[in-house]
Amino acid sequence: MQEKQFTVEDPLGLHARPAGLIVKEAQRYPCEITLTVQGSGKSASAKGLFGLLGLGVRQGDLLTLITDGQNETEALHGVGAVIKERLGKA
Amino acid sequence: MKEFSGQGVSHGVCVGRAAVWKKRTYHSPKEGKDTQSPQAAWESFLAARQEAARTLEQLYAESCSTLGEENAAIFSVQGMMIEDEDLAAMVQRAIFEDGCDSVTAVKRAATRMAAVLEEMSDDYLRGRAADVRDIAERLIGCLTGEGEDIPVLPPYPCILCAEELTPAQTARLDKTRVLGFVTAHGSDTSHTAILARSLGLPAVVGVGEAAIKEIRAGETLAMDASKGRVCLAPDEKTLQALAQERQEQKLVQARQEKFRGKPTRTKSGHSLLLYANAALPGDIETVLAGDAEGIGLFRSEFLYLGREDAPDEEEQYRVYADVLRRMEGRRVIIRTLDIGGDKQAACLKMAREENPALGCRAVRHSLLHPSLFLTQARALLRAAKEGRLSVMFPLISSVQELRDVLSLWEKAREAVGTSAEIELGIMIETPAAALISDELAAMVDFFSIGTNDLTQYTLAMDRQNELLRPFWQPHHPALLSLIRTVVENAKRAGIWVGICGELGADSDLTEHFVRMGVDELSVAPSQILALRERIAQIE
Repeated sequence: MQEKQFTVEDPLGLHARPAGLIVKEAQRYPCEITLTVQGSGKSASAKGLFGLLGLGVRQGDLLTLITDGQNETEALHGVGAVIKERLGKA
Repeated sequence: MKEFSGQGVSHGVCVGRAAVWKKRTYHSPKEGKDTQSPQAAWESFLAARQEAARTLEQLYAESCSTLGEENAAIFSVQGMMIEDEDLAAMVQRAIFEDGCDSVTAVKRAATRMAAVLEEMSDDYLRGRAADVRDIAERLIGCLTGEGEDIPVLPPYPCILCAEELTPAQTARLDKTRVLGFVTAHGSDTSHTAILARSLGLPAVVGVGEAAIKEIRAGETLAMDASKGRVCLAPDEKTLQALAQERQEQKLVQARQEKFRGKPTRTKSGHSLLLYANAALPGDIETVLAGDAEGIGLFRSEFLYLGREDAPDEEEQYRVYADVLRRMEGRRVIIRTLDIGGDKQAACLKMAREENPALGCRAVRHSLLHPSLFLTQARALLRAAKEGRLSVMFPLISSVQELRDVLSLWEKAREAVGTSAEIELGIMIETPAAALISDELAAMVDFFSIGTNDLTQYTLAMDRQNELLRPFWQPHHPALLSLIRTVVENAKRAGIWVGICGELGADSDLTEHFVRMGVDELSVAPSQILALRERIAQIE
C-alpha cells in the first residue's frame, strides 16, 4: 500500500473536468485507488466519477491518495501527477 | 400581467411570443419481471450506453468547432458520466436485484446520482445534477428507440420556454428563430447560461416550475435579461419601459451603423486599420457582420483541441484556405499554434509542468516540436494564394528564438515552393520582447501587441485570480511605457504595429494609441463600429 497527500488549490475544488481526468488515469491500473478527504473522513474510489464528485472536495481540503495492489507504485505516481497538475501542489 | 423573476444570465431586452416546450415523457416498457429478461435488459443498457457515448463524442467534436472547446467541454463531462462504473453498478442492481426493466433502472440510478449531487453545498456540483438528468434522457432515448428530444420551433421568432434546456439542445438552437429563452431550472453556472452568453441570446433561468407552467404558447412575453425579469402578458407601462430601453439601445446602434463601410479615420484624416479577433472558422460570419476590415488575430488552437490526433497538413490547408476565401481578400493574420499554459491539447501529449504560464508554450513548444510546426507552416504557405495571408508567431522573447522560427519557416517555404507574398510578424507579449523590440523590428514585417499576456507578465499577476482584483491595473504606467517603446521602435524600423489584446477596445485609451502612432487595432467584432465612431471623434 502506498499513499500521498495533496492540498487542493483550485478555487473550484474538485469539479467535473479534473475528476474525469483522475478517473481516466486511475482506470489504467488494476489496483485499488482511493481518495480520502481529511476532516470529513469521506472517501471514494478514484475510478468512479460520481464517487469523486460526491466527496464535495473544496479549495483548501487535504486529500490522501491511497493505492493498494498490483502496480500500486505506478498508480500512485500516475494518478498523483494528474491530481497535482489539475488541483494543486503536493 | 404576471411577473416572474429568475437569474438573468446574459444581456438583452426582447418582446415576443412564447414557444413552450415540454420534455418528452417516455412510455417505458411494462415494469415487471416478465417482459424482458434481466440479461436482455442489461445488454440493451450496455448497447444504449455505447450509442449514447458515441453521440456525445460527436457532439463534443461538433461543438468544439462551432462554440469553442470551453463550451464543448460539457459534452466531454457527460461522456465521462455515462461511462461511470458506479452508474452502471446501480443500473445493474436495479435490473438484477429489483427486477426493473432497463428504462426504469436508468431512471432509478439517475435519480439517486442526481440526489447525491443536489445535496452538495457547492453550486457547481449541484448544477451537475442537470447533466445526470440529461444523460439519463439520452440513454432512455436510445433504449426506447425514440432518439433525441429536439425542440420544435414555431414558424415565428419566439421566446422559448422550458423546464430545462439540455446543453445539446441549447448548442443546436437556431439563433435566427429564437429571440431568447426562459427556463424553470438552471443557474449562472449551468451550461444553458454559459451557452446563452456565447450565443448572445437574452436568457433568464431558474424562474421555477410554477412560473413556467403558467406560460402558454403564443402568449406575449417581455424579457429584460440583465434584470432577470420576465413578464407574461405585459401591461402598457412595462411595454413602454422596455420599449424605451430598446429604443435607447437602437439609437446607439443606429448611430454606430452610420460608420459601417466607412474607412476608419480621425477628424484630421489620419487612418487606422480596424480588425477583429477570431477563434474559430464559425466566427467569420460575426467578423464580417461587425464590419471588420480584416482579422488581426486568428487563433489556430481550435484545430488541435478536443481530439485524439493532431490535424494533418491537408486538414489544416483546407481550413486556412476556407477562412481566407470567406474573408474575400481582407487581410487575415493567422497566429501559429499557441498551446500550453491554460490551453492543453490532448493530442499533443504535453508534459506536466510546475508553472505552465511560464512554460513550454507557443513558439517554444513549436521549436521543440519542429515537425508539428512545419506541418502548420506548409499548410499556411499552400493556403496563402486563396487570400491575403499574414502569419505571426506568439510569445517571442529573444532574437535567437525569432531567428530559429524564421529559419524553420524558410524550410517550409522551400518545401512548398510558393511565391505568394506573406507578411511575417510577431506578437509582443513579454516584457523581454518589448524591451528589445528595436532589434526584433529589423527582422519582421509587423508587430502585434498582445496586451493580455503583456500585462500579466509585466505586473507579475494572474488576471483570473480574484484575490488580485484590488491590485490589477490595466492602465499601469509600466505597461503603457512598454507599449510606447514598442510602437516607437516599430515606427523607427518602418514596420506597422497593432494591438490585439483587450486594451485595443478600451475607448479610454483609443486617443492615446492613435497619438502614439498605433496602425491597427484588433478587437471583438461587436466593438468595431463603436471604435470607429470613437476614432472619428479624435482630432
